[in-house]
Amino acid sequence: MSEPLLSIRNLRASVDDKEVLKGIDLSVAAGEVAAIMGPNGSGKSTLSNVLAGRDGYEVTDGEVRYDGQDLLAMEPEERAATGVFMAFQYPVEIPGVVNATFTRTALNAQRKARGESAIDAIDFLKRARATLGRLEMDEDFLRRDVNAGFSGGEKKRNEIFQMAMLEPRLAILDETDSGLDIDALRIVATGVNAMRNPERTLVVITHYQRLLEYVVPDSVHVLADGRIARSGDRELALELERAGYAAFQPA
Amino acid sequence: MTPLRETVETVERASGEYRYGFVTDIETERAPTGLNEEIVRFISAKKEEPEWLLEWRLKAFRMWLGLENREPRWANVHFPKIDFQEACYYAAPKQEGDGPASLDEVDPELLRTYEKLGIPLREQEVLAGVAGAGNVAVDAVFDSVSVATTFKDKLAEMGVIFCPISEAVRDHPELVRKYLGSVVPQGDNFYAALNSAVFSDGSFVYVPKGVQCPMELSTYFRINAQGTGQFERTLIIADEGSRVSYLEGCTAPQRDENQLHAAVVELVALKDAEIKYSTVQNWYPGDAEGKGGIYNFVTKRGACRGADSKISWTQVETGSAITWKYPSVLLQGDRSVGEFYSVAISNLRQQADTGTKMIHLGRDTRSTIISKGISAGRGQQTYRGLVRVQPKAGGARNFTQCDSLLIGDTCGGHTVPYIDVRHPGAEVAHEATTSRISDAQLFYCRQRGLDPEEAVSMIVNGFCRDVLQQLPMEFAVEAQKLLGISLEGAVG
Amino acid sequence: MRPSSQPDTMTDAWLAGQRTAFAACRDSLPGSGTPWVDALRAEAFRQFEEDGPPTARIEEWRSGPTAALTGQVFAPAAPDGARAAAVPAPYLEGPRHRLVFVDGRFSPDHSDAGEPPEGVRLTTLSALLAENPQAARDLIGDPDAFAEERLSRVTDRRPQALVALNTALASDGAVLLIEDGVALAHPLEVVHVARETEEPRAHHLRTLIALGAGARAHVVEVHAGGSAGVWTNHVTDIAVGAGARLEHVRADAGSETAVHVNVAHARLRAGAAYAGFVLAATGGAVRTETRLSLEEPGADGEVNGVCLARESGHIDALTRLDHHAREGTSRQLWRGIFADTARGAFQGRIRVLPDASGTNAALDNRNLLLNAGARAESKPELEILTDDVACSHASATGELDADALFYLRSRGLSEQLARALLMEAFTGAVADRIAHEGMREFVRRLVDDRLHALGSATS
Repeated sequence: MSEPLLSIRNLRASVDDKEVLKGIDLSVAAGEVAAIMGPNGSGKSTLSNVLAGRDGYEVTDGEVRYDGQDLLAMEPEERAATGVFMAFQYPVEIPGVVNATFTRTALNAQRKARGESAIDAIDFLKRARATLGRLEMDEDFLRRDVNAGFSGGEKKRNEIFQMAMLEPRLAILDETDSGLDIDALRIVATGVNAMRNPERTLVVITHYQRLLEYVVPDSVHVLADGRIARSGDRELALELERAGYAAFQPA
Repeated sequence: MTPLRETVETVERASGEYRYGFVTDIETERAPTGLNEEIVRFISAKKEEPEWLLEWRLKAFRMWLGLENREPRWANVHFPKIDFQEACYYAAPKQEGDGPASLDEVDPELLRTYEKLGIPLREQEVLAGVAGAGNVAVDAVFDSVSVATTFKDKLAEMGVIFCPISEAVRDHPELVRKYLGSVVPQGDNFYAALNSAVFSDGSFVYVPKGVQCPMELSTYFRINAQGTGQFERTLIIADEGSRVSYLEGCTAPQRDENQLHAAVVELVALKDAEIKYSTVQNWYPGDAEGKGGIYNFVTKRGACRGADSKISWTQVETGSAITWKYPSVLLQGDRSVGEFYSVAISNLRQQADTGTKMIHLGRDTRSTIISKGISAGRGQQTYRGLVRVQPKAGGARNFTQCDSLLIGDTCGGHTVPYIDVRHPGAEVAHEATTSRISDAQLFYCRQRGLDPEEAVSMIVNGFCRDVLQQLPMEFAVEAQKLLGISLEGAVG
Repeated sequence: MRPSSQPDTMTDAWLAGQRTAFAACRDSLPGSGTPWVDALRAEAFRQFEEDGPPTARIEEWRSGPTAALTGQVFAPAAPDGARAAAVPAPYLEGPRHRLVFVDGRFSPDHSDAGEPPEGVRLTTLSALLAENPQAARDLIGDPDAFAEERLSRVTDRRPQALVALNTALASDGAVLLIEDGVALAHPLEVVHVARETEEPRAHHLRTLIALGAGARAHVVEVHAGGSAGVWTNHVTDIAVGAGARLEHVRADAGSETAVHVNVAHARLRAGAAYAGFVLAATGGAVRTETRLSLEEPGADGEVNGVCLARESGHIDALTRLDHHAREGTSRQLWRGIFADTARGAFQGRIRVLPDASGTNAALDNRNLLLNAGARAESKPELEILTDDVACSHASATGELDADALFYLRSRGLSEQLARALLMEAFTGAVADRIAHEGMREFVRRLVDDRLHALGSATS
């Protein structure tokens, strides 16, 4: 594979003065689907939040290169505009703001930052309807307030919908499978697979192997106690499924 | 273009400045500074008023003297004592002879002012011949006088009277005499008494029986002259079975001094009539240190006199240094309906004490109150409301929702409702919340590509949606823009 | 929104009456002759005069029973051991400490203080001042417990004339002082009995409760007896130390014609918890105040109440919960039922000061009007001065739910029984929040008794 799209070197980060990431090294190529697996408390969510630029996470060492740029120096919205998307583990409710408005405003804000022209309402609606159809989502989604009153599964599907509309180059899926029943999982996975192409990189963060049955990863990395403890291919995920994380737990 | 995009672009254009802060260079005729019976007589004489109105004003003036040092003090607003003898109570753009018969006679400088404000009076008049109905008729009030009213002729065909109140005094004295002060009596409160004594101009609307007013009626108020107050008086009467929607917009130049705006608005809805009154108030709020800005001390009240009548107040309050305002409804007619929808912003050092009174007098009357308060910077905001169900108002229903949003830890948001129920068959429910824009919401929006100001603007617009959607379309867009502009710099 | 004013002549006469009363009894009050006590009482009376009588012009008294209070001059009751008092049997079942006061004075014959554990001092205000006034002063002078200043200026904002008058005229009251880490295993029951009277009589009672760090206690204060012409002015002064917890019930179990003013003020240190319950039931006039000051981080306050008024009764319940420090939590749950021509007012306030980020506070007030002529006022206020908060209040006033009533009747309940059941459920939700089982049972019984009176009054 070519030059990595995302390359993380010796990344250390703390939350409330407690070191959670203790030197992560990881490279993901363009078009690659990388799975990051690990037990609770291993730093999975911290990693995704640091990559997306959330406040409250202090990077103490290391660097993250994304498409040749210093990702950590960018504001969250700048990262978004250059194609970084995070599907939230807990999508946020924004009462009073309609989903369609939200998504279109986001899309046009990113396009503007990239020097592209805005998408008008009619084109947006066409694309949105097609995307909703693929995700087996009701058109009603567009008229509802962002995540307000959504079930857990609806929230996760809404994340995938936004991802499909925003067409990121690097998508980080933070425990997108958690809280989904098998049907919802299948739909989400279909949506994710539809996004796979040689230009797009996916980082799938998960505790369980089951999402990976549908979204087959190119590489699997085990995160334990703030470090990448082992890397491998799909077989590693299956092995973890059988043996659990016991071997990676701190004594 | 999305409203948000427009907002952002407007913000960029305005770059945080109050965009209506310019001063129109025009010759002004002013009354001598101070307030006494002579000034009241001077104003009345200037307006060539009949004797009965002069007497009415003088009575109000004496009541005001009686209320001396009885300015309302219960509101949660703080400002130095106003010296009412320091202000000028009448200022008018100078003109020869009678008022302008058509827009051609209006000082071009004035027309340019309104164009800058986004109210092209001439265009409106021209469009009238082409586009027909569906437009907005505008009455423009500049300092103390109405300078132009558009669409008068077209409205007159339907029997709708829409004119400056000074003109109504001359042409429709019986209506003015019957209703003036019938909802807000001269001695109602300190500021209403002051207004009754010195009111200069304002709009008058009468919609005859059974008429649905064919277009939105609108007044744009503009304070221009230095050292003046504005005391307009608006009176709207909707006769039986009629319907009217009225819009009000306000701006003022950016000045270091505080200027007083003490208006009175009276609405009367007879049987089966409906009045919808919308305000977008954007008086100059003062600067970040609290210097300058308008004192907006306004008495607005509507009476649902007849059965099945309805009065609806919608307000978007983004400007003024101090706002003291409680648009109210007296629900006298059985089954009458009162509504109050409000968005108020206090940023910089703005103080707003605003809310409503719903007085249920008739049977099966209903009222709804939706109030959204946003505080940022060093702004202080209070919702103050009264819901009263009188002993004969069986079947009365009220629902109140008051939400406060706080942005930053140096502002304040307060909720002071008072509920008084004297009939067991009434149902009154009040809910209130206070919260802030969560970090999670902000981050979510930013992760999707919105910068912090866009994110705040979007979240605030969502917070206010229930109120904004009550506004007529043209106003809703303007209001959304204003929310964004008013919160400029609120997020660090 | 402008309150009506009272004729000044009436309040002048009332003030003059209090002056006479103070002059007449100041030399016989507990602690008299001890310089600091005399000075404190004099200062408190001066403060009372400065504050002036409660009138509707004072915002906090706008819907208060001012006429019932100042319409006649209640003189402090003189000690009168000759007359027998009908002292009720203990309210709490099981082991308890019991202090009984009759007409504002301790009655050892009726009391049974039991044996409080080591580290608990259970006594009376008069005993404390008589035994060792200097020790009392040291105790009271402790800035962390009961500063002298607080005895005369107990609340957050003036005017507070009745608290000041209480300080000037307090005749006795219970004193409970618990050292750090000590738990009072059994509840304390304090009973205030007022005898019937022909002449207007006032009883000024002062309760002091101070819990050291980590201490625990349950206290019930009950008012019994009384008649028209009795005015009880009772102030309970509370300090809850760091991590300590106090459950505190105040209840009316006596005459429904008396005038009753009841003020509790509690200061909460870091992580302290105060859980209060108020039962106000009257056909006379009741003013009940609860003021909590959450002064340090992590404190938790709960103030709940049930207000039941009938005939021409008037209840005015006021709460003031001030969050001064971060991460505080508070809840308020109030239910009112008003019958006949009664008037019930609730004024509740949550105030979050600039340093109190992370505050979570909620207030909920619901009122039922049983018939035409009754009146309910509700004034729930939020005053928020920092943004990192989650605060809410809700208020609803109406009649008994017609659907629920019909449902119960369709199941065979009589209308009267159905109404009683719904009222019980309406108030029961509040009583159920009392953690101590014995106290909860007592309150439920008492509420049910009072509801019965309310129901029979209207059916």
